[in-house]
Amino acid sequence: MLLSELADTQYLDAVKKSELNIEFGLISVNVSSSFSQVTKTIAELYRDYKVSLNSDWFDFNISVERPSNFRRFIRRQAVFKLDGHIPFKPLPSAHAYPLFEWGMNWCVANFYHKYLIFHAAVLEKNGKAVVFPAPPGSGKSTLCASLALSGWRLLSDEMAVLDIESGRVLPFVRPICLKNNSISLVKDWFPETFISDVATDTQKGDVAHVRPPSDSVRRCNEDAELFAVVFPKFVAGSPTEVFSMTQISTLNMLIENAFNFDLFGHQGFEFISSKLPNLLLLEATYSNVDELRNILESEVNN
Amino acid sequence: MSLCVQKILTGILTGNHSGSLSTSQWRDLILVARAHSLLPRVASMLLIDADNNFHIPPKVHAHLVASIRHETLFHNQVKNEVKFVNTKISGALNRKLIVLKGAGYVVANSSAAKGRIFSDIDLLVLKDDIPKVERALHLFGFVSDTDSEYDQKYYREWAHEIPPLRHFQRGTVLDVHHNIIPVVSGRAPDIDFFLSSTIETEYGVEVLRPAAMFLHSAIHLFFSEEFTNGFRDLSDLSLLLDEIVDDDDEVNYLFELAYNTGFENEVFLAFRYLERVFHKQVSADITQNFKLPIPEGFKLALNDFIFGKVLAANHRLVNVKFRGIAEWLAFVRGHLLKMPFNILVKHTASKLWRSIVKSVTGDVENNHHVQQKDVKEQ
Repeated sequence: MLLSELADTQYLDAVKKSELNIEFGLISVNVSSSFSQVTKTIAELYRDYKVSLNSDWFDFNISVERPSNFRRFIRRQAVFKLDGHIPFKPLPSAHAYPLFEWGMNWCVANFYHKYLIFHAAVLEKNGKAVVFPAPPGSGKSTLCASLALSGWRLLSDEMAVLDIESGRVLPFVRPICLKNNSISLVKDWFPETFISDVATDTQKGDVAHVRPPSDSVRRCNEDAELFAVVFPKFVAGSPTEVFSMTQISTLNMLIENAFNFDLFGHQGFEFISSKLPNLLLLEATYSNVDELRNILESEVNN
Repeated sequence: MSLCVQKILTGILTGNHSGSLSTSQWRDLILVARAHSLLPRVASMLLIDADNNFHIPPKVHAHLVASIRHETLFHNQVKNEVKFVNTKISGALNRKLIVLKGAGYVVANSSAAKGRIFSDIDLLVLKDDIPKVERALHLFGFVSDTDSEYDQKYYREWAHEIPPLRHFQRGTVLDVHHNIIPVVSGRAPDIDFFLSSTIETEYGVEVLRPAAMFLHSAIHLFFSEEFTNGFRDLSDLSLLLDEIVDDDDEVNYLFELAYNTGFENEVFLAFRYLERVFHKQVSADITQNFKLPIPEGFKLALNDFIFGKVLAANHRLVNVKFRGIAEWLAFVRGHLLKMPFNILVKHTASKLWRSIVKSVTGDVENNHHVQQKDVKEQ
């Protein structure tokens, strides 16, 4: 059953009573919230996801609620809870939705160490997955949205999930988190795409989330072959230039962007070292997303 | 259903569970275990001590493998930190460094190290060595966690330890002790009894011998005033007991040490709630060793009321009636054990004031600690 197939009342009832599971393929998450802003946004962004009601399994049960201390009467706030436990500080209630998304990221990055996880976007075309690790400000999410909405399959905007046993990359398809100027850019490029309300002045600036393409969501159980690691670097006004990277600097930059590389010890190091010789390793400086996309497409179509 | 998940969990933790679990039982088990920082221990029991015929569904297996990875890295870090600290302070010590509790279990390779995650490394040194140790640790990057004048005074005058020291980069927290319970309690033992109950480890530091480890763990638990980790601590006691039950010398040593230091009652309480909460039978051969009369009547009933509840798993899936009252009684009991009444009143007033401030301000003061701990612990 897809979330969009639930009647409104059925959905609202389930999401308030912690009876709704969203199925990501990788994991299953029980979600609930007392904020209508959060439940409405979930209904829009996760429209195409499989859901289950009162299932006998979930990997994480998360919620975004109002805090219970006296401060709630002074300033309206939202807290994230994992199984009723509050792992971080409350945020202003206007940031309740981003808190939901970031909280879910935190759960996976902190607990789901079955897989090696890097802070990176992953997109696939022609059966070839390209990993885009990048620090904030590199334009990763803008590039990710542009590729995902132009026929590439979205595997993830935030986390490259690698199975060191099969050597393949697993999808963790989620809404794409756009920041600041890129929100209006993506709205201009893809006017028909649903983008959530903007939460202003969060710790990452203004943020909004893009609904992932339904085809990517539908294929959330299909892993993919690693093909390339590309470090995007947005430089306003620059021409599009692509440089090849050495294995050692790629390794270093991957480790810098790892969530749990330390937990894998030798195994993780051996895995990455054995993969790198077979991958295309690039650094791309760009200001025009279309030009970069064309270059990447010619690589994966080769 | 509610009692069920605790029973499954204690069964697994004591190596006594058999039979398969339904998907929802696995789910609840993971939730309750994780809430008590016991998931790595459950994982290690199920995956490493493979002496069971459980079918573990792949989605459950993923969480178990994940928590074992976390435990392995964490224990490596603890061993390295202990070695590092020891090389930096051993020159200032008049006796070898003793590592207590969680870190002690890890460097001792005790079975209580299995899946044990903790936030501080507890050290025991001679009281006279404390100033030198503190200076050496300051020099190597460990700084006091608290600026509060009240805290500093509390620790220096009344406690059995100095204020926690946190490494300014790695975030490791050291608790440096000179006794095992607060001096102000009047119950602090002649620490020589413990100082002469140690064994060497491969890390150049000492740990308490198994009997003394069990006794210290029992004292620590039953001198507490809050039991957030009570269920986990009882699980430690279960594993620590396994280390000594088959060794007559250690069993005799336990009773001798407990009698000499005045902590027979804590051993009694440990056995009693291992039986009542963890369904772990302690044989009469062992319990007959108590020299003093064991508690009975109202006192025992009150203990049963308090500890039967506060040592149970603390999770919404485990329904414990009157837990709140038991927690409050345990809080009062723990404080009365630790402090004379006049000091207790002052201390409670100070704590109460802080908790009022905290409920209004939303714990701004301490939040950065919580977050740092999360990054390191989970």
